[in-house]
Amino acid sequence: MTNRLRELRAERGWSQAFLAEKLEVSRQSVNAIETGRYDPSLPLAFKIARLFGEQIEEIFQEGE
Amino acid sequence: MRCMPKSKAERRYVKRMLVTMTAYLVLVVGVTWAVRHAHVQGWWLYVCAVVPSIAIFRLLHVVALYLKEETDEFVRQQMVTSILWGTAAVLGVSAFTDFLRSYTGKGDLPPFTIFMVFWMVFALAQGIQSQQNRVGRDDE
Repeated sequence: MTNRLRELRAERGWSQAFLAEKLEVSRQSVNAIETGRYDPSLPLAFKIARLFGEQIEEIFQEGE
Repeated sequence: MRCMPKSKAERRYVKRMLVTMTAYLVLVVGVTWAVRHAHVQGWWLYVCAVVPSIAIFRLLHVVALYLKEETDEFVRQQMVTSILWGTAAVLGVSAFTDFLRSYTGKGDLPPFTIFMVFWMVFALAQGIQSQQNRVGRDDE
């Protein structure tokens, strides 16, 4: 899966630590999702989508 | 180690681990002393073997509690991966020594080897994953 998390975060000028705090996860987790090393669970993906005010499929796409 | 604040679950895990390990050491030393110097005999020896084992069960219980309490799913996944590595090593080593024993009559491991193998491989897996997922300077 690919995602636009880094792009969305950059648009808002948020740091990874700030996003991690908002999502109640570690910065390590945010980094792993952004770099595609970890695909979040559905609840976390929903949380991310809600935070950025977008649909899940607008943030996460199938493919490498 | 990760260069970031530990979660509440992680802090509780470390605290519980330290308490349990301390209890384990006290029990092992105490029971070993009792067996060697107080001339414990008969079924009391079974009781002596059970007592420090309770601390080992508590150790596994502490790991289970951490997995239940940790809200960061990525960190939780790393812990589960490490447990699987430890389990794989234990099963691999015990299968190998069992075959060796049945074919050659040799292969008895020193006491507590399996236990040590599990925690060593577990710690190694944790270290490797921690290195792999290390994060650099935060960017805005």
